[in-house]
Amino acid sequence: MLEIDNISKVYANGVTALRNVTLSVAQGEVVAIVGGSGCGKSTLLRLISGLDRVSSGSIRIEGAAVTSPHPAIGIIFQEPRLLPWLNVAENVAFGLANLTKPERRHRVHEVLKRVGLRDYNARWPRELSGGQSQRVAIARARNAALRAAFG
Amino acid sequence: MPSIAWVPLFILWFGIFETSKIVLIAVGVFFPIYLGVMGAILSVDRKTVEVGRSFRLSPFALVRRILLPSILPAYVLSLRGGLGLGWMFVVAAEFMGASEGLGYLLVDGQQLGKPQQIVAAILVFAVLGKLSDWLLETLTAPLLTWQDAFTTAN
Repeated sequence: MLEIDNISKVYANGVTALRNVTLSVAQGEVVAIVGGSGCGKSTLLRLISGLDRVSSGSIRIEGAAVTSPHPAIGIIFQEPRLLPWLNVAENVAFGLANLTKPERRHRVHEVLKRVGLRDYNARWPRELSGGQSQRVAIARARNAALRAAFG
Repeated sequence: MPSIAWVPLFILWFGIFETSKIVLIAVGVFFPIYLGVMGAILSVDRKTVEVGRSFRLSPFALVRRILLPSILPAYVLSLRGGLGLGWMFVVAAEFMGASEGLGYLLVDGQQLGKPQQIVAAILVFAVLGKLSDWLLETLTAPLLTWQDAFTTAN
């Protein structure tokens, strides 16, 4: 599903974050990338997610080169990055703009239930604990990815 | 460039009536607000923008759904500053060639030696300024309830 072929990433300030990384991940496989601080784990994930571009080499998801965020991939950042002007339900629904309102509400309800934040719809991000925020972020990313899976 | 320097030109172009005053106030207020908004746009968190990008928002949607809400608090603050400045330009505009209005009352009070008229005009300006600021604050408050900030307003 995911093919990473000999990629390198050199940032504008000259730092080489990744050199000649090759990796492939099959459908359904769970992969953990482990390493010391600053070794390029986040860079690798940013490249896979399409937020940054590789300096050389190629990344393919289901055969298609990644140049921008892919619809089948939900991105969960290291910190929650909830949008502070949206409440929990609106944050979770952020990527669902093209669903109808009832569909959206249903989807938000389902996915919030799954992360154990059933009655949190109307809360503001500032009212959540760190762990709760990250769970909302997971719900948001899952939601977007689910949408892709179901078209 | 100080906006009041425009006054003679505006009077030449737009006459001594309302148009020149309105243009002066608009020009005087525009740039401070513009600067405030530009500053806010430049300080929008890259991380927030990335959230928008991760959902593949179009540039237009990115502006509408990420950029505008992000800068809203700073925009409101700029507007409030601009409002105060606007009142200052009302005085300035009416100092020069008005035949009515509060600014005219100030000049008139000075020339005819009526300090009570000057003080009354100042008080009316104070009330108007406070009132308009309160109105703006009240109208925008519902849009900003999400803010997780140390509140300095009031």
